[in-house]
Amino acid sequence: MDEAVFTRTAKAYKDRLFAIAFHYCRSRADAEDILQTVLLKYYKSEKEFVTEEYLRNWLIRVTINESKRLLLSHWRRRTVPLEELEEYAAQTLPIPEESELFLAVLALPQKYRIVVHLYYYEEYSVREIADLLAIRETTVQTRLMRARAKLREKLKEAWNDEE
Amino acid sequence: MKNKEYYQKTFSRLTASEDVIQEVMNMDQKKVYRFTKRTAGIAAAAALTLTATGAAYAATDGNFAELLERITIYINGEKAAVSDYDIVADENGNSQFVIPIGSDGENFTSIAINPDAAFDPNLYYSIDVDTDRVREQTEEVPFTLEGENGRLYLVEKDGSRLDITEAAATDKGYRYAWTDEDGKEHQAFALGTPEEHFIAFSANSVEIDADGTVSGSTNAAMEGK
Repeated sequence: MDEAVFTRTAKAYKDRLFAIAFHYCRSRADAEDILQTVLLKYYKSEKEFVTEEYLRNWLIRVTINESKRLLLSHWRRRTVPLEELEEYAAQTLPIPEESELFLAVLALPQKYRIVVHLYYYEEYSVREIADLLAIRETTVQTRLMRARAKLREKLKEAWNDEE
Repeated sequence: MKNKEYYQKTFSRLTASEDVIQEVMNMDQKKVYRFTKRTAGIAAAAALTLTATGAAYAATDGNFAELLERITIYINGEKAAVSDYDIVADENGNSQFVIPIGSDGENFTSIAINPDAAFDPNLYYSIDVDTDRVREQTEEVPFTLEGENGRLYLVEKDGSRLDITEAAATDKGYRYAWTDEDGKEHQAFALGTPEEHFIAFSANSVEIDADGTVSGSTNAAMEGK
């Protein structure tokens, strides 16, 4: 792949792919590992990405697959302690409200975290999330509903009842 | 502030290192596997472990490639590509490799080879994985795992629940043994946390051919959520 094309795409997508991976593994080192694998696959790919949407979906799908694969690779899975996440939040998110949301989301079960992120950050529809994760739309809706309830419970008025 | 705006503002602060782009471009194109930066725990039990007589073959960074050359893996009769392997190494140089077999969306199956087993550097190994058998084995396990209120429970077919939170979080996990209707003994290991857990099997057999080749025939695998 042309290096200029790769660099441009990698710069444009690295943070959002990193965020998706981080929602799975909750570890900066693991998320960077996943990102590296995804970008390497893209770099070596001979696919023709005809549209930006196709490229985005491909990168996100590969990130999801690599994240799941990494979690399985941990024969004994390493649990990231809450204190480690709190420390990371304190360094990265100086605004208390943001830190609270960050920790509340990362305290959700993994299957809720990724659905929430794809919905609120990547702005995918329920249908699109179902396609990306290869699960039913009703499952996505249920997970979103439960995740929202948990976030409302934890964040009180900071998390609206808008949905 | 709307939830979406609040969420996007917060998580836009998560940024990856700039170095990753250059690192990818610098990677040797011929390299088919890599050691990871992460630290992963290595379990002594439950992984597919080929045991053979001979000196223990320590899988350190330096000799892992050599070890890989001596192992051929067949999945449903087809030779698995080396690039399908995922090598996990911890900071002490201990490593294992994991071969993903398949997924049905949420459940993943893979086999893990733990080089803590005695690999004789003078022998070649082949491992045959029958994915249908792995699936069957998954269905035969007489329990499920459920995470609830920060605890991990092993739920038997009769509905009885056993809290295995602490045991499952250890290197070896929680070992569950049972005997099937034909009197055959089985064992499975429950590993993980209340949030993320999986079941691992170890049911391998090893054959040594007349010419000294050791063949491991196995349906060892792990399946997780």
